[in-house]
Amino acid sequence: LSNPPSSLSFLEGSLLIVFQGKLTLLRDTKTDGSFLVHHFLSFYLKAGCKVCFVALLQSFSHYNIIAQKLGVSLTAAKERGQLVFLEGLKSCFDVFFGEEQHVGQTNPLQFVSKDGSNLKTMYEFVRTSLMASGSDSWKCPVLLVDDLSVLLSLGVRPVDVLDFIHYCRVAVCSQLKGNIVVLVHSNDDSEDEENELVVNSLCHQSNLILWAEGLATGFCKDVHGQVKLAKAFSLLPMLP
Amino acid sequence: PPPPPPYFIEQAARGSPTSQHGAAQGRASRSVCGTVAVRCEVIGRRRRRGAGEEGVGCWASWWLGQRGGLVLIEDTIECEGRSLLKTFVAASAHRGESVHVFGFEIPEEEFRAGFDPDVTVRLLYQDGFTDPLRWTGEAGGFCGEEFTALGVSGQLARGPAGPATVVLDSLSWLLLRQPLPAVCQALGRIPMAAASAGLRVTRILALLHGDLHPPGLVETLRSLARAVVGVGPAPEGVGSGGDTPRLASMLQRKETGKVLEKEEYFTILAGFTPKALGEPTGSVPRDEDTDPHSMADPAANLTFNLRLSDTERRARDGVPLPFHFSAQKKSSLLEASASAGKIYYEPDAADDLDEEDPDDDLDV
Repeated sequence: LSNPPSSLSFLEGSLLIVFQGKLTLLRDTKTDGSFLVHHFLSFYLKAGCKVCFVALLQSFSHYNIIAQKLGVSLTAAKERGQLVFLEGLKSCFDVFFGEEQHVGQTNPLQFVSKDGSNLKTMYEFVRTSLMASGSDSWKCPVLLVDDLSVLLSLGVRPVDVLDFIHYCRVAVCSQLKGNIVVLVHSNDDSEDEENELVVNSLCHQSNLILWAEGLATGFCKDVHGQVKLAKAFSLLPMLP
Repeated sequence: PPPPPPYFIEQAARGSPTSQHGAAQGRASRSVCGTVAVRCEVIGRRRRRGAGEEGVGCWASWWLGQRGGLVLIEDTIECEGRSLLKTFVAASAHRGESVHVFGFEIPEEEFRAGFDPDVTVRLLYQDGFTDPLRWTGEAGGFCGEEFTALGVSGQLARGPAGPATVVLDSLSWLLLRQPLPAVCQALGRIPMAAASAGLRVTRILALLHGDLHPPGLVETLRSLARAVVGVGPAPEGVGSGGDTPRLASMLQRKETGKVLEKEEYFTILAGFTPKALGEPTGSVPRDEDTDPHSMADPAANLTFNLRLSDTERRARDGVPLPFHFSAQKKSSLLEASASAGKIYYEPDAADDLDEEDPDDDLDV
């Protein structure tokens, strides 16, 4: 299980060394910002980082197909231990219809069937996935979440979502010096107060905000929108 | 004789039976060394700012001179307020106070970054970031539930004696997890609880993210606070190239009940020292009687004439008021009038009085 050579350019590689221990917030309004998720997934895998991907929105094959177009195979990454993939759709199914869990093997999405709000098990899953084990020689660990608004739809209270991100920041950013990339959906005139609370709170906490907005004039075939950078790190050539 | 100065009036009002001037003279008779020594109380003495003091730094030291009370720094997504909070921390530390920071949002090393060594020595950090909910069971941290008056004063008691400043980074973190009344009570009782433990809390500095809470909650906290600083982005063109200018909107509530408001551009230099960049032009403090010239003339652009010429204005001023009794009116009222009521009509310059009956030409 040897690491593949890092296929990043020198500039991207040096950016990676400098940009560590940070929380990046991906935010989309009136458009789909998941292209940013695919980009960061393939970017960090190519960079040789250990990635824990909490994928709540789509299935594994969906991400795999797109990642292959970007030059990365998720199956191979999983096999060599570089990628820990939490497939939310499958795990939810297992919580309700799966067989009895053995003691000590709690499903990270246990909250869906129990009290419905405490994300402590999911945090512990993330922490154990990204803890450096002796044989690993990956670069900085990365947590990728797609996306947090789904957790609110599943009945998690906004404060519990914020607590989950808080503890992930403690473990991943502060202790392991890794990065966190999180996607949220938002709307300027949204009436979803819980979602706006989560989004605003994350804006206060994050080091970098990438905000993909649809065009104010409506849908267009060739131009999908614009991406705003806030609290931007000095160079960001890595966006597609 | 010239009227006595206002403070003599105050002296007389305190029960002296003689006249105001007499009271002053009475006191003056007990002069010492030929000079008049008068005890008086001046209400609302205004502290004059020294020539060298400027801007936010001056305001910081002005507030830090106040006893007790909550100082709220309110920020939003557009403009962060933690660096301004750190300037207050640095100012407190430079005054020799110990600063107890209850940090929930950022790790300790990130908070301490950028301070001078003489500031970090006085900084006592209570770590509410690493394990505030006891999920990992790490020892030595400060749990969110411990934020009560007793919990806080217990932490303060472990520090050195003397004046202490309590810093909350941030109050929003606590408000999202604890009910508002509990937080407000704790804020109010911290100075008393600390005093019973032999400590003196000079002030409580709290960072509040204004856009995370409903407006009612923010207003409640603003009414509790002794001073509120709102931080916002400054428009282009303020300050020189290297600064990141910001706008501070300051509201201070004094013990007398007077409220002062001020807006100022500022930036923060290395070592967390604030630098004032001047006031925004056109930001006159809100005044109830606005300048009449600035209001649009309501009689302009009409199809009819609402204006008065000078003769018309004089004629209007000369009209007697309805309840103003002229001799004619008085005599008519005093007479017992059996006939139908008389009409007293006083024509003005523009009237065209014609004694004829206008209905004469009707062929009825």
